[in-house]
Amino acid sequence: MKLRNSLFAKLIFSCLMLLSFAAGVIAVIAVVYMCVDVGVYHNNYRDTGQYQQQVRWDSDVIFNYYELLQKAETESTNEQELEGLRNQIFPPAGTSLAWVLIDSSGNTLLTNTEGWDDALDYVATLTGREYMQIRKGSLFVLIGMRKNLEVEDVYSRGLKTFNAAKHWFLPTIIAGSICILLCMVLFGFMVSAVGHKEGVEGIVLNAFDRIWLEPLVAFQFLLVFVLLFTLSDYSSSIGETVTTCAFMLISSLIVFFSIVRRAKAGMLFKTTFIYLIVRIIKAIAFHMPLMLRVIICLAGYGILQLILLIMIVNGSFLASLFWLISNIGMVVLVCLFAIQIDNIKKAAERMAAGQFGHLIKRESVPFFTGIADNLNSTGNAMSLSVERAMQSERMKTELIANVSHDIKTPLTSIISYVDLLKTTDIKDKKALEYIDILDKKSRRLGQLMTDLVEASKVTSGNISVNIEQINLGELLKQAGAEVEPRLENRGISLVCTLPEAPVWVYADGRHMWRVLDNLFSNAAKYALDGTRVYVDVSSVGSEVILSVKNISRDALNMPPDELMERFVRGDKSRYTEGSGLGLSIARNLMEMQHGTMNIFIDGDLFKVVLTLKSSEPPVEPQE
Amino acid sequence: MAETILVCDDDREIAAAIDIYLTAEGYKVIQAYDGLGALEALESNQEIKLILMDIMMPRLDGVRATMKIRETRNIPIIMLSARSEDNDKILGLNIGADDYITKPFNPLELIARVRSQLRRYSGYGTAKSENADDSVIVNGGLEINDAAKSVTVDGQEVSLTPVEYKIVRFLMENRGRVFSSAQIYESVWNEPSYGADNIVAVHIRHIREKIEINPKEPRYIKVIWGHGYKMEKIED
Repeated sequence: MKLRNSLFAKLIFSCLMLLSFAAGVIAVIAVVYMCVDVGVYHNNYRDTGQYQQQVRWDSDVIFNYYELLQKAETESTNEQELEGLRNQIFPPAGTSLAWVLIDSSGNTLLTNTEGWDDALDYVATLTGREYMQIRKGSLFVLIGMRKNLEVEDVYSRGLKTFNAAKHWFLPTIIAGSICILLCMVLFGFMVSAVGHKEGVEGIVLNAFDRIWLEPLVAFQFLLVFVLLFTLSDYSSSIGETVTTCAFMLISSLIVFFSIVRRAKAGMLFKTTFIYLIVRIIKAIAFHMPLMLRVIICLAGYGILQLILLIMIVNGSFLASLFWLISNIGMVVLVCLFAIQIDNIKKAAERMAAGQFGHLIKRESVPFFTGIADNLNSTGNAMSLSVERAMQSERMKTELIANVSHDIKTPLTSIISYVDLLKTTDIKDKKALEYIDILDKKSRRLGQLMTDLVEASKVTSGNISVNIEQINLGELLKQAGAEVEPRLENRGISLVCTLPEAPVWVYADGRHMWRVLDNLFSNAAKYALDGTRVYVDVSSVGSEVILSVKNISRDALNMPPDELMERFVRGDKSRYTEGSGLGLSIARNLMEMQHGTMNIFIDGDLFKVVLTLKSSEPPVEPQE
Repeated sequence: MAETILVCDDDREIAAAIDIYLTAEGYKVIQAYDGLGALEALESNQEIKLILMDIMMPRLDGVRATMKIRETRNIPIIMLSARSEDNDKILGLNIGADDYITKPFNPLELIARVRSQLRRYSGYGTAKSENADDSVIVNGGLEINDAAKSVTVDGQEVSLTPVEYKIVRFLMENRGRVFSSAQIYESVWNEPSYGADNIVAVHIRHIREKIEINPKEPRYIKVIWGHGYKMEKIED
C-alpha cells in the first residue's frame, strides 16, 4: 500500500505538519524576542541595551533626588520633613546597583555604598570595575551592577533572563529550523498525496472540490479578513488568538488542498463558475444556426458600440478608451478570420492542383479546425487512392512485361523452327502454305506482344518523355521517307502541305515519330488502294495543328472514340494485321507531350488531328 | 577456317536453333545452358571467338556472366533477350556487351550481326594499317575510300549511288554532328534547298538499307527525329 493512498497517514501527517508549523512559529518568535529584547548576541549582560537603558533611568532618578534634596535643604527649615526626605534619598539604595554621586572636584555627594569618603573605591570593588560614568551638568554619577546580587529586582531578573536566553538560543534555532523543515517536507508530501485514494487510479475529487472555485476562494478571503480584523483589537486572550489563528490556518489549508486536487485532476478551470457560463453559452450557440449566431454577435457588438458612443457623448473618458480597444479588437478578429479563410482557400487550391498530403496545419486555422480536419482527411484518402491506383498500374505494367517475356521465349523457338522448317525439303504445296500461315501468325504474335508491352508502358506513364524544340517539317520529311515504301506498296501517295516558314513545336522527337509511324502504318493498312494520304500543318495561335486524312477501304462502323480504346475494349473484330493498339498508343504519347489527338470520321474519310504547343525557332549555335 | 561460337541460352531448343543457323553458315558452335556453363566452356575451349548470351538464365544470369568474362577476356559478346525495353539494352551494352538482339530474332539479322562482330574483332588490326592514306575514313566497321569512291561495311563492299556516296562522305567527315535535311542538301547538291520534298530523307533511308544490318535500329546513321541525321561516332 502506498503511503500517499492512506487516509490515516495523511491525517497523522497533517496533524504533525500543523504542530511543527506551530512549533516553528513559536521558535521564530522566541528567537526574535531573544535578539531584539534580550540582546542575546552580547557577551555580557552589562553590554545589552536593556541594562544600559535601565542604568540611565536610575542615574536620572539619582540626579533628580539630589536636586530635590538641595532645594529642600536651602528652602525648608522643617527638620523633620528634611529627615524624611533624607531617608527617602536612597531609593535605589537597596537595588542590585552600587553607585556614587560626586561633584567636579571629586567630593562624594551621595552614595548607597557602605563608606562615604572612599565611596569611589567601594563602587569599583562592588561592581568589579564595571561601572558607568554618567554626567549631568557639573555632577557625575558612577554607577554599576554589583557582582553579588542579593536583592530580587529588575537587574537580577534581567541577568537571569539573559543567561537563560544565552543558554537556549542555539537549541531554539536548531529546533525551530527542524520544525520548519519538517513542516515543509510534510507540506510537500501533502501536496503530492492529496487526492489519491486507495484502490483508485488517478485523482479523486470529493464533494467539496465540486464547489465553484470563485465563491469558495472569495468566502475564504472574507473569512480570513474578518478574523484578522477581530484579532487586531488586542482584546482577545491568548487562547482565543491561538484558536482563531488555528482556525484560519486549517480552513485556508483545506481550501488550498482543494485547489491542488482540482489542478492535479485537470479540473481547476472546469470547476469554476466562469466555465459553467462558458459551457452554457457554448451549448446555446451550438444549437443555434450559424446565421443566428453571427447576427446575435453583431447585434451585441452594435449595442455595445451604441452604449459606448452615448457615454462618450456624455464625456466619459473610460468609455472612449474602451471604444478604441473594442474596435481594435474587432479589426484584429476580422483580420484573423480573413487570414484563416485564406489559408483554407490555399489548401483547397493545393488539393485541386493534385497535392493531397499535409494540406493544412490545424494550428494555422484555430477558428476552423473542423474544416481543416475534414480537408486533411479528404486529402489523405485521395492520396491513398491515387497511390493505390499508381501501384496497381505499375504492377500491371510489370506483369505485362513479365508475361510478355515468358510468352516471347517459346515464341522465339516457334518462329525459329518454322523458319528452319521452310529450309527443309518439303514438296507438298499444302504443307508449304500451312508453314507460311504459321510463319505469318507467329510473327504477328511477336509484334502483338511488343505492342502490348509498349501500350501498357505508355498508358501507365512508365516511359521517359524528353520535351524539346523540334522542327515539325523535318520530322514529317523523315517520317515520310521511312513509311514511303509501305504506302507505295498499296499505291498510296503522301501529300504534305506545310507553311512556308519552318514550324517548330515542343515535343519529344522519338515519341512524335512513333505517333506518325502508327498513323501512317494505319493508313498503309486501312486506306483504300490508290488513294492519297493528306498531311496538313497549320499554326493557330500558340498551337500547331497537324491533320492526317485518308479514305478508308472498309466502312468505319464504330465511333471514333472506340477506335482509340481497342486496348480497353478489345471486343471488336481484328480482321487485319496489326494489334489494334496503334491509335491508343499514339493518343497516350500525344498526351504525354502535352498535346492532343482526336479522330473524326465523315463517311469513309478518316481524319486524325494532332495538336502540339508551338515554339519559337531555337537559337542556332553559331560557329 | 571455322570460327568457334559459344551459344548460351537456358532454352535448349533456342540454343539448338541458333546452332543450326550458325552451323549452316560454316561456324563451329558450342552450346551452354547457363552462365556457369558458359564460363566453363570458355575455360576449356580457348578457340571461342564470340559469345551469344541470353540474359535470363538459372544459376548465373547473362549480365553477371558477361561481367565475369569481361574481367579477363575481350571477345565479342552479343546479348540475346526477350526483354525489349530500352533500359535492358542500355544495361547490356553498359556492362560490356558489344551488341544486343531481342527475341524473337530474325535469323538473317542474327547471322549478320555475328559476322559483323567477328569481322571487326579479327580484321581491326589490318584495317588500321591501311589507314595511312588520307582518303580513307574509318568509323567502327564502316570505311570509305575517297580515292576509290568505295564504301565497305565490316570489310564487305557496299555499292552506293554517287549521291548516296556524297551524303555518306559528308556525314563521315562530320561524325557526331546533327544535320538537317536542308543542310545536307545544300552541302551535297551545292544549291539552296527550297522544298518540302523529302529527297534527302529518302536517300538516307536507302543508304541505311544498304549499310545497316537492321535499318530500323541503325548503328551508323542515326535519325534524330525532328532535327535531322547524324553519323554516330564509334570509338574503338
